[in-house]
Amino acid sequence: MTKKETFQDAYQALTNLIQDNQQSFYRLSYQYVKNVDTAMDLIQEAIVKAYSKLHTIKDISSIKPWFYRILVNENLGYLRKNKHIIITEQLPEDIVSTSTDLAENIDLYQAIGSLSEELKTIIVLRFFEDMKLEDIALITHTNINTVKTRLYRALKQLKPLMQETMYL
Amino acid sequence: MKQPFAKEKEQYLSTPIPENLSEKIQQVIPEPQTIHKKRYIFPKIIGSLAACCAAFVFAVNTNTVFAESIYKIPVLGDFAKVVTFKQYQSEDNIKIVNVKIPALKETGNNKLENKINQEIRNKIDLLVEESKQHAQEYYDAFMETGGKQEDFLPVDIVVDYEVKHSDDNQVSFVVTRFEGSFSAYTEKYYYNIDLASGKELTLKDVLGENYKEKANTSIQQQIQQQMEDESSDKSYFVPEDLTGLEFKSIRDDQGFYINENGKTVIVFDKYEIAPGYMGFPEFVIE
Repeated sequence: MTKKETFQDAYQALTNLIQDNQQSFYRLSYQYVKNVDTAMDLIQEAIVKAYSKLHTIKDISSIKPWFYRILVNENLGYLRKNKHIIITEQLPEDIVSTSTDLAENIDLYQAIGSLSEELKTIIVLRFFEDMKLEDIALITHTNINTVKTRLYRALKQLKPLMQETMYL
Repeated sequence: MKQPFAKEKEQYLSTPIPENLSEKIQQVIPEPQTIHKKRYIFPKIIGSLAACCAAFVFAVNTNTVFAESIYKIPVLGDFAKVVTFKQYQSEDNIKIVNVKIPALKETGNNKLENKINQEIRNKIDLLVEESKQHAQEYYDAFMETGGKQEDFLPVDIVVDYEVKHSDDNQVSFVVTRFEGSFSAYTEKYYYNIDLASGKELTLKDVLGENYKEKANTSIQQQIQQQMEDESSDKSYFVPEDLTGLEFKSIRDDQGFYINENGKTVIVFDKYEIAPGYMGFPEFVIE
């Protein structure tokens, strides 16, 4: 990227991405750190980093996975540094569900939350954020076969808790 | 067909969003003209440390571990006892190699020097060969699973040493091998030599007959002190973790070195008794 206008394009793309996806960033961070302030701090860190690295981006059309990679890395970095802190989450008291199998649903959601960071990342990005496997590979800085392997492992771990049969 | 995890996704999407999220985010979006567009070029040695999630829970790399292995020039007496015998670098698209090989000199004991120095050279050659193989395997696996050559970060292979103690009676130094890749790790090898007898010292030699009890008691005490200290962020595995990894006793072949004050310092491997961020825990045994 050498032209001034291209940098402007990238700047605009990143800024738009951030405005449009703030809540998604928050939900993702919260999924990792289970703390409101920490999640917001990590998002801020990720944003600052993203702008400072903006000039290195090769393909503006992949700015979404590019940014998510930074965000995921911030979260994982934080978790590694703070592994000794036990993370507990307060479940909201007014959790509403139309299903009669309320207890099982909470178990599965919690089970996803207690997967290893690696596997949790795959499940959350794939099924909650609806990302393509190719994008997940970019975000986690691995290749698509690794993503598929991890997806398979995660699903295998969660299978006992799942009610419906799934087609991979 | 129903989407898998549909209910869980709903739950996820109903995560309460803090009111000030928007504000906090606006705060850190910079004006375009304030962004520095300089390209930062990191020195090759440090730049390509890969910090990927590994398949195993324990294989995580941190930069601080690497920093510890940088050679410090000791303040020495009349003659240097541990010197750099050979130093070499090489680089290709699979690996970046940086090796420093120490040697014992000016001890007045040629036989000892020859023996130890040969041992060191053999060991380091072996370690470097091993790491080169790992790099090749990692590269082959990467390419076979559809990776692109330009995406491959060369594996960092570093062998370095640090002199911990050097006088007319004893010499103590640590050789560190660092391999930076998909699952990065660091290994340390300790050389504690008694110059008078020409032998490599054992813990029994330096701490006495009941060296295990002595060491265990001291370490147990220090761990407790450190964990109780609110201001430090040190922590060690405890029985409550249910990992079974909490400190119980030093191993027969526990690593140690002698520090500049002549005290014995026992060193644990990363992940041996504490979480990864603690690095290689050390305890001075008085």
